[in-house]
Amino acid sequence: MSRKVRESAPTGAKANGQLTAKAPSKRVSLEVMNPRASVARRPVVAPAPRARDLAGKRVGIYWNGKVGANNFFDVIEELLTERFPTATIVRFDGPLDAGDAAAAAMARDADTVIYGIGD
Amino acid sequence: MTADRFSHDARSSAEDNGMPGIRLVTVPVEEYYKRRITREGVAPVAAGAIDALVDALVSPFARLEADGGVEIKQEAKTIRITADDYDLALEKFNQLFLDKHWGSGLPLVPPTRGRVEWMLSGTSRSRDEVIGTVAPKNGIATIEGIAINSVMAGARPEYLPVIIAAMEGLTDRRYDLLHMMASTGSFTLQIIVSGPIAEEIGMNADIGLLGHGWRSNNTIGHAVRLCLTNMGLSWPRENDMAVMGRPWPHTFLTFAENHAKSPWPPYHTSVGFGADDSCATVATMMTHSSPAGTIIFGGGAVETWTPQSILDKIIDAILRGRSSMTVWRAGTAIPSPQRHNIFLQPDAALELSRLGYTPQNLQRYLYDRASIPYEDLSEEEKRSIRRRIADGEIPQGSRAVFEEGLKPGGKTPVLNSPEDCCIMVAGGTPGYSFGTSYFSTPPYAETSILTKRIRGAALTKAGR
Repeated sequence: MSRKVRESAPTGAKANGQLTAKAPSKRVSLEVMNPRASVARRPVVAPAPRARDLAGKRVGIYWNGKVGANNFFDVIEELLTERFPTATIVRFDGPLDAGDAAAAAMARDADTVIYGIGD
Repeated sequence: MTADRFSHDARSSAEDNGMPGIRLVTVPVEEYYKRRITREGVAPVAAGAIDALVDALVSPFARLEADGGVEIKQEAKTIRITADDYDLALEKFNQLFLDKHWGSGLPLVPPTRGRVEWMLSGTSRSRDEVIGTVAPKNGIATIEGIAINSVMAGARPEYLPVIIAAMEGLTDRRYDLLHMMASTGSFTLQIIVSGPIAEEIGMNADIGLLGHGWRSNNTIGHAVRLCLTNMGLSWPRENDMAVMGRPWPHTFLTFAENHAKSPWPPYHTSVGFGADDSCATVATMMTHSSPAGTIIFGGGAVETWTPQSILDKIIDAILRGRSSMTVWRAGTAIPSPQRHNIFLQPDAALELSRLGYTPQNLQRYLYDRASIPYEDLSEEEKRSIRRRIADGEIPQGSRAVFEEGLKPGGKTPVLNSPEDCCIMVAGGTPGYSFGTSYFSTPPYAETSILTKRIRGAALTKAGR
C-alpha cells in the first residue's frame, strides 16, 4: 500500500446506496500503477484512391467463407451489374485473413475491392 | 462490409492492421443474420446497402480520411485516487478501473508501487523484459506489466513465474491468440501447470480442481485474464465479440496435473521438456457443446466405468467431429479437425497403465480407432480429404495414412495426427475423466496449444 493511505475502520453509513465517509477526516490518496500496456504504433497504409465511377471498372468482391455472406454478395453482384453494365465483377474467396498473396491477386485483378467479413 | 453490431470491432481491427482509413458499410444485424440463409431472403438487406456501398467505392476522400493515422493515447504511468477515507478510495479505484475497461468485473487489489514491488520479488527477471505482444491490439507485455495485473488479480509473488510462462505461451507467434480473444465463437482458455512448482504454490490437482477455494488456481487465471484485457486492449462487445462471453471468464480453466497419483511422466515431457521441469501449458478450448466446454468420459461417484468404457467415449467424441469434415478448410471459420485435451482421472490412468498403455501408445490407439472405413465415406467426404491432402493440410507424418485410407479397405482418421490427443492426468478419486477440444490448426496461426518452461522463480525451489 502507498504510505499515504490511511487504513480506516470500515465506513459505516450508507445513503441511497452510496458509501459515505464515517466522519470528516483527512483525505486519503491512493497512487496506483497503470495496468495498460503501451502499443507500438504500426505503419499506416493509406486507402487506395477511389475509382470515381465504376463504369468499365473491375470490381472485386472477397468472401471469407462465412456462410450466408456468399448469398449476400451474389445479390450485391446483381445490383452492381444492373447499375454499371460495363463493370466487371471479379469474385475472390479465401481464408478469414486474406494474406499477402490474395491481396496481391486482388490488387492485380481488380480496380476496387469490397471485402466482407461476414459478421 | 459488416453487420452494424460489428462496426466498432471492424474499425478497431482495421486500425490494428494499419488501415484506419478503410471505409466501412454496414447492414442491420437484426436483418442480416436471419435472412442470410438464402439469396432471396438476404436480397432486401443487400438492396438497402447498395447506395452506401457504391458511394464508399467512388466518393473522394476527405483529407483527414486519406491520412488515416490514429494516435494511440498513452496513459499516465500512475493514477492518483483521492477520497475521504480508504473504503471510499477503494470503491473509487474499482469503479474507475472498470469504467476505463481495465478490470474484470470482480473487485481488484489496488496495484500500488509497494504491492507491485512485492509481486516482482517473485521473479529474478528484469521488470523491463519484453516477452511479446498481445492480440488483438498488440500491446507490449513486459514483466512489470504482468506484475501490475497480477497484483490486481490478487495473486501472490510466488505465482508470478507461472503467470509469466502462461503469457509467454499466449504471446508466442505460433499461438493463435487472436482467435481466442476476438472470435464470436466464445472460445476460452485453459492453463495447466505441471511439474513440482504446482505443489509448491499450493495448486489443486485433486478433487475440486476446476473449482473455487485455491488461491493459486484462481488468481493465476485471473491474472492472465487481466493481462489479456490490458495488454490486448480488448473489451466485450467492442473488439471481443464472443456472443456468449468467454466461459470461465475470470479465472479461465486453471489447474495442475496430478503427478502424485499419475502412473506416467508429466504431459510436458511429451513436448520436449524435462521430467523435473515445471511448465505452464496454455490451450484454447471450445464452449459450443456446453458453456463449461468440458465433455465427461466417465467416472464420478454415481456411474460405474471400466478403462474400455472411457476409451470408447473418447473415441465417440472424436468421431463426432466427422460431422464437419466436408467444410474443414485452412484459415476459415472451421479450419481443421479438432485437437482434444484428455484429462484422465488417476484411477483410470492407473488401470490403463496396467493394461500396458502409455500416453504415446494411447494417442496412437485413439487415432486409429477414430477412423472411418473407406466404404463408409460419402463422395463429398472423399473429395474433401483429397483436397486437404493436395493443399497440404494433412501433417507430413500422417499423409501416408490418409492416402491409404482412400483405397478400398482403408480407413481415414478423423484427427489430423495422433498428437492431437493431448493426454494428461488430473483430478482425484473419485473423479471424472473429461476432455476439452478446439481446432487442431486454428485460423490465424499454427497452433492452439503451447507449453512453456517456468523460469526465473525467486521464491520457490522449482521454476528457477
